[in-house]
Formats: sequence, structure tokens, C-alpha cells
Amino acid sequence: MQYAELICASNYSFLAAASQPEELVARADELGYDAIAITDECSLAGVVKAHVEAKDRDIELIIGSRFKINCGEHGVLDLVLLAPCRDAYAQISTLITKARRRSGKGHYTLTVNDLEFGLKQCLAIWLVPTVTQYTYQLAPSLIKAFPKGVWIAFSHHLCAQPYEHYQQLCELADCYQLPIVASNNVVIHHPERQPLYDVMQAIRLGCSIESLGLNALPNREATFQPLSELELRYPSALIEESIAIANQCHFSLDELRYNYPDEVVPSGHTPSEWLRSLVEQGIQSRWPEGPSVKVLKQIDYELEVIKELRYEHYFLTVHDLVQFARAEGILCQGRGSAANSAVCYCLFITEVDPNQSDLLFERFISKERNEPPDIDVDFEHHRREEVIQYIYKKYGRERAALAATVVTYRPRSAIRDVGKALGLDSILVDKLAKSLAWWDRSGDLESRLAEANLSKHSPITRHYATLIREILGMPRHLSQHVGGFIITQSPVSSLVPIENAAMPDRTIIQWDKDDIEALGLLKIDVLALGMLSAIRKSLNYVQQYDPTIRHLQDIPSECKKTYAMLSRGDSIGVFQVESRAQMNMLPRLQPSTFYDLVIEVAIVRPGPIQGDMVHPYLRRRQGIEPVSYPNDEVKSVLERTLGVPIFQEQVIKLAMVAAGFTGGQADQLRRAMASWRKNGQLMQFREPVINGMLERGHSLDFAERLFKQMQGFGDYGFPESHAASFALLVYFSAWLKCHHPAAFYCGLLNSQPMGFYSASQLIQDAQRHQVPVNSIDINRSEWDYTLEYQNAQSTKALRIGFRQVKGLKRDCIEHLIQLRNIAPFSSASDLVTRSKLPRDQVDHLISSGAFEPLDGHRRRSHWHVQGVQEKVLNQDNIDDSLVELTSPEPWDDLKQDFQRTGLTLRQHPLALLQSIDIIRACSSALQTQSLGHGRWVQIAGIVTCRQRPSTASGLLFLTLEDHTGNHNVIVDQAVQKRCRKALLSGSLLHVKGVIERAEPPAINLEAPPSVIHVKAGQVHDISQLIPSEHRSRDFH
Amino acid sequence: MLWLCLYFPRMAVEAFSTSKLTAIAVTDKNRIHTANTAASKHGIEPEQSLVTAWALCEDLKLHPRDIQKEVSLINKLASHCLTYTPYLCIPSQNQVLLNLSGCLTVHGGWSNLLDAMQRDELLTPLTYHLGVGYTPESATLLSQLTSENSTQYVEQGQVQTAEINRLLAQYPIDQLNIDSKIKMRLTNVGVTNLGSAKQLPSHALGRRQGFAFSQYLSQIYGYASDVRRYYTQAVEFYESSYSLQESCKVPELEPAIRHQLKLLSQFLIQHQMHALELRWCFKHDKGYQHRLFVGVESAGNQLESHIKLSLLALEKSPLKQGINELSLRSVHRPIRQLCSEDLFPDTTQKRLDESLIDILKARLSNHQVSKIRQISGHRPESLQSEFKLPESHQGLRPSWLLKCPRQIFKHQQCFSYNDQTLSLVQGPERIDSEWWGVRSQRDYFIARSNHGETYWIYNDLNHGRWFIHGIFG
Repeated sequence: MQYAELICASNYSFLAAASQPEELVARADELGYDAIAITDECSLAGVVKAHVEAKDRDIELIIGSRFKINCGEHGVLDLVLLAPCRDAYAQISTLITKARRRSGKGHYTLTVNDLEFGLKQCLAIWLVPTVTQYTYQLAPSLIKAFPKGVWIAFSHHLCAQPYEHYQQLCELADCYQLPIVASNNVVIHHPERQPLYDVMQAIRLGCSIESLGLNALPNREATFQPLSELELRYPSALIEESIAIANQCHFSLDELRYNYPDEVVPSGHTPSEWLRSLVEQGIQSRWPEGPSVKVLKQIDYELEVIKELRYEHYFLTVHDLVQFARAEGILCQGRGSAANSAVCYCLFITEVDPNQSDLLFERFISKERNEPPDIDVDFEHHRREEVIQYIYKKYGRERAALAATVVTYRPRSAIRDVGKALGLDSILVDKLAKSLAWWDRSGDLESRLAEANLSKHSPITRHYATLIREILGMPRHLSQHVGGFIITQSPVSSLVPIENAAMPDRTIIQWDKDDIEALGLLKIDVLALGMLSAIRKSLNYVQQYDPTIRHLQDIPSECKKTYAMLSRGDSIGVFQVESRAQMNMLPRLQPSTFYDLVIEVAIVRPGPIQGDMVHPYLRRRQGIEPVSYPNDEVKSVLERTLGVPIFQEQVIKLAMVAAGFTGGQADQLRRAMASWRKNGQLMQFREPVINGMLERGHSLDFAERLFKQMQGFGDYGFPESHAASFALLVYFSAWLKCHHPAAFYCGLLNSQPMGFYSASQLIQDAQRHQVPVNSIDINRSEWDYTLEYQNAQSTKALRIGFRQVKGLKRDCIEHLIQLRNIAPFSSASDLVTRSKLPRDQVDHLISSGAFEPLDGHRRRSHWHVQGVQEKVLNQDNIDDSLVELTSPEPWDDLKQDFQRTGLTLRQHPLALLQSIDIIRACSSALQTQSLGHGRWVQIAGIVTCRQRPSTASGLLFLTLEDHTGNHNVIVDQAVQKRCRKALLSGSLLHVKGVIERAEPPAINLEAPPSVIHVKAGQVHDISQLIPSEHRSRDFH
Repeated sequence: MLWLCLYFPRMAVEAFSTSKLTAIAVTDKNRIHTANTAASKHGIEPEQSLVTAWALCEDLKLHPRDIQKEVSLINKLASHCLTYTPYLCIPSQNQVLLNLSGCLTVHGGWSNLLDAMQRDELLTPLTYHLGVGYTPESATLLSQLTSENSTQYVEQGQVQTAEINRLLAQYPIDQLNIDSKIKMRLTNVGVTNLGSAKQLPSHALGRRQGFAFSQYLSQIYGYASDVRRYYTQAVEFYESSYSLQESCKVPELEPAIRHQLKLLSQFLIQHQMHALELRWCFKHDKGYQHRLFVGVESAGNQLESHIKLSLLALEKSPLKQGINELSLRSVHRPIRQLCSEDLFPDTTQKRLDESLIDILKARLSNHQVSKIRQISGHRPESLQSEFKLPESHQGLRPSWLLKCPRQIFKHQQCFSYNDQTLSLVQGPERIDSEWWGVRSQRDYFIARSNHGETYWIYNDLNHGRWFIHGIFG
């Protein structure tokens, strides 16, 4: 028997079905179906995944979509449209776009009139739950709208009175000569998914499962049935009709192609000519004295490859964006594999000079790879929107759209949504969600449930655990990608539907980057990088007093003082090297040249760490281990990293020079390295690599070591070009911190949120660098942090801006500043009288301490303000403002500071706690600097960072801050298990442990401070001692 | 003056049971209202959903909140506390406030009084806290502040004034029963407890936080009067009458019934009470007893309605033998205050409906009459109280749904039930839903009997047994 299931919803109908597209395709194939149509509601979001799955199977995939059209009092018209050909597909995609663009995110609006035009190539399947008079009125319109065919669907889910319903459908069909087709109207691929479907319905409808009523599935029949069962349930004619429809559908997503926009090529030029001409202009700018022969050769080669693969438009489009940004003074820089391209350098897309680096173009584009290039360009994050709007303006919303990101269920969101759907209280669910550590595995779920006192014998608990596991990874909704754009010559909607994003004036396609890559479409990444904004702002501040530094090019290169600062590990706020791992590496590596920074950026990565390259590199650099190469070819690849492969390109090049791989083959090897943990494909290269190396005279030991390093490398290694791009920003930001700290911190703080550290930590670092910091002042602060000049302009201080105050609205502050410019405020009550600010804004300002210079303390400000408001209301003249209120305790002030601004300039909480025995017995961060290795110690501090990298063998790294600095704490798995609760939720910890020191390398006589850790043996949560509102930053 | 407040935090659950071993909780509007100690140990707390409660403790016993039970218990406690002082009041449903001024001497001092309370058989099984103060409000507040024994107030047989003042001064503002905005404003100016509030000038505080608050503060500290209405014991109505002749027929008993109801009517008028239930007891010396409870809430205090309902109930539940004693006890409550009504109210239909319900209950008994509540769901039991389906449900549903499905047995292709043979006519309709609670996997069929009756039957897919669940028409 042959059968095609023509109505299937996947979980890309977003909470309206409970199976992945892949699961649907696989199950249909297992049951022997001939074809399956994925028909998500007003969406094509899941079709690419189904397409990829179907390619490996013996089942045809039909593309379609389902629409439920509100017909007012007549109910809902439920229609499935299928795409038999490319044109029909474009029509469906356009219809979805039209429906989605009219409505808010996640919704769509259609009327019956919308079906009248533009769908002539589509096949229509009509679902009629109840035959009414209106049904008969509607039929002629549908027949007219879909001349290629209209079918009536009949589904038999063992519900009430199916035979009566079937009779009614037959009468309707006879009346209009419409065929009836069998369909099981599938929403779950397996009956066991019924509970998950009901839970998803509850989540979607915002109710509990007990309130679902008829929205729950009545039984488990809306799934794939075995062919034998279908034979029993449906007349054979209906089953045959499904095949008749399927036989008309030949469209495949592989047919999708698009053209690039023409605007980037002026008339009278071919794309290749225009690209070459721009590159030549770039050559002259970059190398006024002419490039080297090597570089020219590289450029010619790249242009040939680009021409052969016909990617000129892509480069021209990216170039156009970069030119716009540069013209507007927006800092931008390309990164990733694109930095391997000399053409990109000439076009000012990237900043890695091919003269100074050994680029591997094949890493970027290769003929063998048959994949489109991927150029990522970072822009200042605060100004990226200007670039995005430029794209929309230039190409129009019909031809430019952002890629989507599928937001899927992660453990915490799964716990929350499923818990709410089951009817569990939000307090319990919240507590459970917060008890999860980001490193917990699904097997730990039962332990977490037990810790939350949920009884394991309770059926509800068992359901909860099962449903959480099932929903993990399921799509929740579409969101916009960080910056991936599709730009086309013809409307994007003929290729993929577009819908509204949550942000105003933002539209997204329904596919994510994986879908785009699977279909071989091109995407341009317009990304945001906070550090670019910070650098730009810092330069602006520097210009105010040093007009010689205006652009990045004005920053002197190879500054020794800057390298010395980095070598001390003093890198808080510096791009890419401010993590604790980097801060530990810097004193060991002691960068003294730009290339050292390139290595620094690349070496602290899972790839080199797991490939065991870090220590060999450091030993060789320190002269402890000799550097050797098996031959000159290998030396040419590894010489600059002392014989240790650190960059991705080195691994690829080694495969080429040592094992005889071509560039493309080596790139395939790189891709296998990237995915070998998922699919183990790397192992098929073991023999070619080792045999190739043996043939070229390398030892077996060397070959096997190299292959082992490839395994460790995976996809976590940086390309050298990418590391070089980043190293530029490392240097610029370090230089600014070193020479213009006040301007640097000001730029950094005005670019938050970004980076590794909170505003509080940045400000403490600023103070450690002798930058005075002034508190918020109602008469002096602006919205942003500002520089203030003290001591006849010689000292630059930071003034905290109102942006630091939670809950304040910018327009209210701007209004205040206008009033202040007329006359400064004399008190809080003066502000209330003059400004008519909303009450909550006044309260926020008072809580931030902005009136302390005027009123003395917060309580007084509140008292006066309350009196003024009452006076205004009652219009009386009673003045009782002179009541003496008690001043807040230091803790009260601290608590308010943290609650409202997230930082304090008063005493550190740990300083206030010194009178408490347990704290007094602890060594401060400063004191631990002088303790020896192996010494037992007690420390205490506020948790500012938790990190548990996957490469660290399960170790947890904590940063605890006290009044003198930071402690670095390492916690092994045994202690993590014993002290889990304290480690996860404590904001103030008391730790007993042992000092571990790594001494500085002997080569440097001006030894920087040692890298010091405390290895924890016991951890106690003593958060009850502080009323702090601290939140740590947690990283994986 | 000296006031003692007894606060019963678990009144709602202890009105059902004072067991400390079994986890019991009382529910109100599908949420946990109060839990006993055993339930609290499992993490059951007020305001939790029932689902959460079951997830924490699968053996939890639940009772819907019964305000009548609580009122009855608190009245009982208040009546009992009259042995300690004649002046007491009930400030809330779980507190009793005693004015001990002038009573300590009678009890032989504060310690003796406390000893007596600790040995009190009525109080001992219950969970309660004590609070002592010089004003009613201060005693009430302090009873909620601490669970410590009240002996902290006593030293050498004297109530420690300083201790009371200290505790009051430390009483947190955020635990007062006042508007949360006022709490926030007070906290903003550093007023975090009653002591710091007291230090501020009353008029300044009143202007900022409202004069109701400063008045409240004054009442706590005794600067303003706080008049309380003292509790008076509930009056009971009990009447009985005897006859030399035995009677068991309604007409013979009617005069006695009328007479007692007339006395009840006079009692209700005199005490401004409203009858809720009439509790008749028909007895014979030789031991026979027959009790009859008649709900009369909607009948108002209409004598004729009470007579009619009582006679109807007696007809429904006749005496099995003659009796010679007839007694009446009533459950009543004070008449509610009148509220504004429309000049031309249309309450006729509502009154008719309510009296009809009373008549049905009287005729058929209370258990046979229930309210219709609309619930939407697939599983028939979810529709138990519902005889009218939501319009969207397409299937045929029987007019009558049996409360408990009855098993039937299959013989070849037919079933037998009540001497009838049933044959399947239509189906199956598969209902396999509500997996989160009592999951039922059933295939329903419509079956017709050889007598022409139509039944709704199902096959339980878990174990293959067949049941009748409903009757059509």
C-alpha cells in the first residue's frame, strides 16, 4: 500500500506541535510512507531541517504551510497549501510574509480575500471540522482561488461520530466535485508525545493543563499510524488520493537560488572589473610605496578564485557597508576567516596586513569546499543600528532581512514553563530553576528535584522530570540573529518568508543560520562589538585634551609600557585578555610584541588547551625546552610558534606540507576536526594523514602526535588571521588603559553592558589606577559618565553618570538637565517643585544618593519630598521639614547603593565586616600575595565571577572580591559536590584552602607578581552578613 | 489595662483535626490556606497551588475550608475563655483577645493564670501564640510577632512593662497590616519599626503617611481610644415537647411541629437572628431516635416556609415507629446588615429559585441535589456536575451520567445489564486524556438494549473490562 501524509505540524509551529521535523520525517519513513508534507502554521521555519533529514532517506518531502483564517461568526477556514513547483513555493512564502508582516511578532492575519490572487500554482487541502451553510458558500471561492486543485481532508482520530462527519464531507464533495483525501492531521510523531503536546498547548495559551479543557488532545491518535491501521480506518480511494497529490509535487528546496543586488556594481562595469578596480585603489591606500610581490601574487590568486566562484557581488556588498560605516565615522573591523584574505584587506574590510602575516586563503574560500564565504564584520555596538538602517534604506525591506535565531528550551526555561503548565507555584519553580548549575547534566535533574523537596513518589514529580527532558532543545520562538543579513536582488519573500521581529522596524526571515548554510545561501554578518564603541568613545574623550590622538592610526605601535602592563596581568577592561584565564597567562607569556598578543589571544582557547599545546609553548618560550623541527617544511609552518601548532591554519598547513594534502583537502580535514565530536568523521583522515607523513619521511611518533593534536584542537582553535584582528583591538585598548586610564574607563563604562566585568569592578580598577571617581551628583552628573578635570586640568576624574541608576529614564534626566542649566537644584524638594517628575523617578534619584551633597543623607531627602508632595496636595503652609531623622547606618547606605546603582564608592562591605571574628581571621587579597606555596589560609570575599570551562576537567573558578583586591579560588569536583548550594547561590563566601603559586619565568628579571590561587577545601555561605544586592557574572 | 491575645495560626486546619502526625491542609479557592505541622514539614505553605502541594507530599490530606467550622471553634474558644475573664473579644477569625484588667487577682497572679492556660484541655491540642500588651492592638501585634512562651513578659509574678515596650519598639513596620506604599515610604525615611515611628512627631507623620496611620500608631501605644465590642455568648434555641400518646404520622405530629417552630420564630425575631438549619430529633423512651436536618437558609424567617419544609422532609424520611418526644434545635446567625438595594429590585426569580432548591432538598434529601458547574474537558468525570456540554463538543453525550460506572459483562457480541441485552450501535470514541491526574484510556460506544433503551458504555483499555457510564434520554 502507498500513502502520503500531507498534513503534519512540527514543533516549528512553535508550541502547537510536539515533534521535531526530523522526527516526523524519520518516523514516516520507518512506517513506509511514500511522502510527507511538513505544514507548519503560517511558517516554513522547519522545512529545511526536514529537507536535510529526508535527503538521507527514501521518502519524498513536500513543502507546505497551514493557515487558519478567521471568518468571524462563521468560524475558521482551515487550509493547507502545498507547493508542487518553485512558483507555488514562492507564492506560499509570499502569502506567509503578507500575513506575518501585518501582525505583531509571532502572529499573523489573513482574510479569505487574501486567497483570491497570487496562489494559482498551489494545491489546497481544506479541513472542515463542521459542515455548515457557510462551508457551501465558501467552496466556489476556494475552487476559483486554487485552479490546480482543492481537496477536502478527512481525519479519523477515533473521535465522536466520524461516520456522520464523513457523510457530510461526501455530500459537500459531491456537490462541488471535490475529491476527499485521507490525512491523519499529525501533531505528534509518536503517541508518547501526547503529554508534551498538552503541556505545550498550556504554555502557548498561558494556562495550566487542568484548564486546557478541549484544547488538550482527546487521545493519542493525531500521530502516524501504521499502513495496516490506515487501511482499516480510511476508504482506499482516500488513501490513493494522497498519492495522487504527492505525485504532483516535485519541488525541492535544492532548487532555491537567488541573485545578489545589482546596485553595488555601477553601470558600464562587470562585477569582476569593478571589484578589481576597488582592490587596486585599496592597494594604493594600504601600500603607498607599493606592495610586495608576494602580496600582489596573493591578490591576483584571490581575485581569480572569486571570479571563478562568482562571489564578486558578495565582496562588493560587504565593501559597500564598510565604506558607509567609515564615512560615518563608525569603527568597524572584519574578523574570522575573512582576515585571511588580502582582497578583504585592500577593501578595508579587515585589518590584517598580508605583508606581516602568513594568510591561508583556502581557510576562507576554497574551490573544493563548495561553500559560500562568510564575512563577519564587527561594528561599534551602539552605532550598529545605523548600519542596519542603511541596509534597509538602500535595499528596502523586501530585499533585505535578518536571519532568525531559534530560541530553544534550555534547562531553566524548561523548568519554568513546564512547571507553570503543570500548575506548580512560581516560587517553587523559580527556586528549582535557580538551583541548577549551568554545568548540570540531564541526569542531575532528579537530584535537583529532590533538593527542592519534591517527592519522587509523586506522579506529578515524575511527569515534571519527564516533560522537562522532552522539551529541552525544542524551539520556543524565533528571534533575530545577532546580525546575519540576507540581501537579494529579487524579493526575499519569494525565497523564504519574512516576519516581524520584536524590535520595532526589524524584520527577520524564518530560517536560522544553519538553514541558510544547509541551502548554500549567502549571509552577511553585521555584528556588534562593544569594545569598538568603547574605543571610539575613549578616543573622543582623549581628543578633548590631546588632539594628536584622533584615530586608531594615531596610536603608536609597539609601546613597551603597554606590554609591561599586560605582562603584569593588569588587563581588566582590555579586550579579549581580561578573563582570569588570560590574566593568569599574561605573566607567564609576557607579551612584548604584537605577535605575542596574537598568540596570547589564540592560546587561551579550548583547542590549544585540550591539545596540550600551552605548556610546551610556554616551556619553549622560557627556554626550558629545546625547539626542534623534523624538517624545513614543518619549520616554515611552526617556526613563529616555536614548533607548537596554535592556530587552525597551522594544522591545515601541516596537513599540506607534511602529509601532502591539497588546500581543499586540508580544509575538509579542518571541517572534520570541527565536527568530530559530533560525528567522528575525523577518524577517516587518520590513515591519510599518518601515511602521508610517513611517506614524506616523518616519524610515526611525530605523525601520531600531530593527529592527536588535531583531535584535541576541534573547532575551538582560532584562525591566525582572526587572532590577529582581535590582537589589534587588544593592543589599542591596552594602550588607552595604560596612557589614558580615565578616558579609557569612561569610554568603557559608557559602553556597558559589555566585557567581563561589572561597572563596580571597573570602577575599582580605575581607582587602583589612581583615577579619582566622583559619585552621582544631581547638579554635576550627566546621563553618561563624564571626565572632570581637577587640579588645574592635570588630573582627570570620572563622574558617575545617571545611566548607572536603575529605573531612571533618559528623557526625565534630560529634562532635569535643562532645568539645572537655568539654575542648579538646591534640594530634593526644590527638584520636585520645579520639575514635576514622576514620583518613582524622584525616589530613584534619591536612592542613588544624588542629593547627598545637598540634603546630607537619603532619608532627609525622602522626608522633604514627602512633605512637599503632601503640601502640594493639601495646599497648606505647614513646614515640618526640620524634623531630625537618624542618619542611615553604613550598611543601609551600602545596600541602597547596590540596589540602585550596582556599585558603591563608600567602604567596601568587607571593610565594614572586619569587626566580625570570622572575617577578621581571614587573609585579605593583598595579604595572600605574600603567602608561600602550600600555605593553609582562610579568605572571604564577595563572589564576582564564577567560571567552569568545559576544558578545565570540571574545575570551578571563583573570583572573590574584598576591600584590597581579588582572590582567585579553584574548587574541585569533590568540594563542588559538598558545598554546591553555597557555591551556586552564595554572594559572600568564606573559604578555607591552600595557596598555590606559579612563579614567574626566570628569564624576566623584573618579575611580575606570581599567579596565585587558593585551592578550596571548604566553602561556606556567609551571605547573611551583608545586605548586598550583588550578582556575580557566571561564565561557562 | 492589660490585654492578652491568643493567636491560633492553624485554626482553619485544626478545626478539622489536631493530628500532628498526618499531613493535613485546608484549601481555599484551589490554593492551600493552612497546613498543619506535619504538612509544613514537607514544605506545604499557604498560597501554594494544590499541584505543588501534591508534588511535595503525595499523602497530603486536603479539606476545603469550612468557615462555619472555624467560626464554631473560635466561638467555642471564646466561650471557654470567659472562664478567665468576662471581657473578651474576637478581633479576627483566629484570635481571641482577653481583657485581664481586674482578673489577675482572681486567678492568683499572672503565673497562675498562665499555668492554668497551659493545662487547659481545650487549648492544649491547638497551636497558639500569646501576646500581652496594654492596649488591644499591641497585644494583638505581639501575639503575631513571636512564638515564644509569654513567660518572657513575666518576672517575679509581674508583667514586664519594659519588655513589652521593647518588643513593641522593635516590631517591624513591614509586618504591620498597612498599605505597602506606606511601608515603603516609612522605610525610605528610616522608619523600620514602631519605635522609630513613635519618635517622629505625630502630625508630621500623619501628613506624610496619612492620618489613619498616625491614629493606628496612637491606638497601639494607647494615646487614642480603641473601643472594642465585647463578646457575648451565642444564644441557643432548644425546645422539646412530650406526648403521652405515641405518634408517627405527619398529621399527628404537625401541631407539635408548628408549635415549636412558632417559638423559634419568636426567638429569631427577639435575637435578630436568621435560621440556617433546623435540627429535629424524634425520640421514644425506649430508645428509638430519628433525626432530621432541614436547610432553611433561603426561606428567610418565614414561619410557614419552615413548617412546609419540615413537613416535606418528614414525608421524605418517615418515622419507622411511634415517638413520644419531639425536640428542635436551630443553627442560626445574626441577620446581615441591610445594604442599598434598587428601588424596584427584581429578586422574585432568585427567591423562587432558592425556595425551589430548598423544596427539592427537603423532598429528595440534600445529597440528591447539587449545583451545576460548567467544566470543559474530555474525560466524562470532568463533566460530572455538568449536564449541558459546551457547544464545541461534537459528540453525543448522555443525559444522565452515573456517578460510578457499573461493570457489565460481555457474552459473545452482547452485554447484559438489568435483565436487558445490549448491543453496540456506534463507536468507538476513544478518550485517553488527563494523563496528569487519573488517566483514563477508554473506548466509548453507544449501545442499545432489547427494550429500546440507549446506553453509553466503555471498554477500559487498561484491563479490558466493560462499564456502563450513562443513559441517553
